[in-house]
Amino acid sequence: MSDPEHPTPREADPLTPLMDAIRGGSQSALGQLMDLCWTELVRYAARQVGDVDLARDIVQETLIQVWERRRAWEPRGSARAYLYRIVRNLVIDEKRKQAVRRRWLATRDSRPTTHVVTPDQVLDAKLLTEVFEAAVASLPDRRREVFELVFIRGLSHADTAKVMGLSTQTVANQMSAALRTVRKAVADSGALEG
Amino acid sequence: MRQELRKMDELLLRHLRGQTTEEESRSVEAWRTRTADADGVLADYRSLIQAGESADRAIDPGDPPPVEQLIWRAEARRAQLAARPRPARTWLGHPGTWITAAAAAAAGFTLWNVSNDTTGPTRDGTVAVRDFLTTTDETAMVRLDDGSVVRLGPESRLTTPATHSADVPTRQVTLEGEAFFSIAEDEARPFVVTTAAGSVRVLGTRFHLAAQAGELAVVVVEGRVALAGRNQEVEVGAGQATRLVRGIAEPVADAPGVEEMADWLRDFLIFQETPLAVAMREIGERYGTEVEIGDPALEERTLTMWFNGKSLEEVMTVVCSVVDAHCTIGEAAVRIEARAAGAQS
Repeated sequence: MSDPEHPTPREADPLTPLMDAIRGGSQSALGQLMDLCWTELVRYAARQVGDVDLARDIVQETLIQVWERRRAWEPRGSARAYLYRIVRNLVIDEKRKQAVRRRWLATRDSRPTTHVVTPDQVLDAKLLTEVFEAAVASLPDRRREVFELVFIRGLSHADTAKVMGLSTQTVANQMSAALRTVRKAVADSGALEG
Repeated sequence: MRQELRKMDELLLRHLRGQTTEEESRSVEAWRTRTADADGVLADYRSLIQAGESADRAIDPGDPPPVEQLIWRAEARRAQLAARPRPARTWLGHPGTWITAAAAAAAGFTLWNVSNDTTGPTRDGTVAVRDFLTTTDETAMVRLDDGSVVRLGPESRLTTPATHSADVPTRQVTLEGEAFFSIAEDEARPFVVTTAAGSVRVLGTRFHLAAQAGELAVVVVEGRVALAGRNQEVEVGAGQATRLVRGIAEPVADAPGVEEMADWLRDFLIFQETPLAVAMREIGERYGTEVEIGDPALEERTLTMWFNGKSLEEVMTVVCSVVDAHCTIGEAAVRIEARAAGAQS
């Protein structure tokens, strides 16, 4: 049972009241939801389909569906898991239609980050990111997807289980195996040294 | 160490992202004091988080569209959908159907049996058929009388003869939409799936089909199928996939995971005379566990069974009972060994 006086960071979910307002027909709440989630959902979809424009379309369609189904939404689970579930279904539809599979590493835009770092740090960080991306791409599909949701997007195991239709234990097993693989690949490359 | 780390992973990642409560932070501190390489693990995880964030920042999502635009599109679509007709649904009246359907409903799908003792050829000589329809929120399981099983996806339609008589040289069904087929082997009577975009001929195998207007996509999990398009036939083997687009076959390629193509399959597993080694590889991938088969003789044993939404323990209990083996389910691995002569479970 949660303590309403001392909510944990996860319980202080700003999306649930917005979803409640959307269910009541508030267009401005949909706008606020979009502002809050747009970046993370587009990035999630883009990493799945390897195409930012397509990812933007998917997230627009997601928000349209949130509006269309607003009266059916019930605040039983996490609103965030609900949004990711819709995005994931649309991603799967797109992959099926266009046979877009794992093109991300080959086509991704390697623009620099906004951190201020020294030249050596730039090289180290770039190497680390590249090795990390290659290790993630090498994971089996389901394991990679669990890793993307838990590690990159920061979803809980329980929310990830809801998004993917798996048991929490399966998510924990897949995540543990993925983390071992990625950590070992990055360590073996020497990118973690120094 | 590995088992404890597995339990701590989620907490450690949240701790490094500053998302833990005071109590959870104390748990992390307690773990650090009792674990030899705790700081090394945390340093590695911190580096991986930075790498993940760096990879993520490389994607520029741009600005969201105006909310009015989305709402206008939603309302326009609603107006279009309101005018769209839906086909009527067919329910079957065989007494046994309702009992099995009730059990299946608890598992989240509808189950139908096509049995030998139901409708035969009609008086005018035409063959009686059965239609199985699913709505957008449904999936269904259809067991054919030859032992084959079809898992019908959402918004799909499967038409079968009321019986697959042994006198008929081929077993024929038609499909609109998508389905996962697990076909019982019968070399004398190939199984043929006909769709609007082409047909698929199989002997004994497991494969997924998605038939849309003018397009037929197949992913083969086990065995071999032949796709017949416009003036050509393409063979597709296990682990391969291809599509027929307006009757023209695309090159055969490595298959994606079936779940990637058919999200509605979720925790569904089906085996049809599948060697244990193949089945266990799939079970291991599905549940994220390593699999070890201790006796080579066991690898050739075959499984014919299906599971929906079952836990690893439930699946392995059935599998090990069927192959009469001794199974050990650990935190990270499942091991199957032959029983010692005379040993009891």
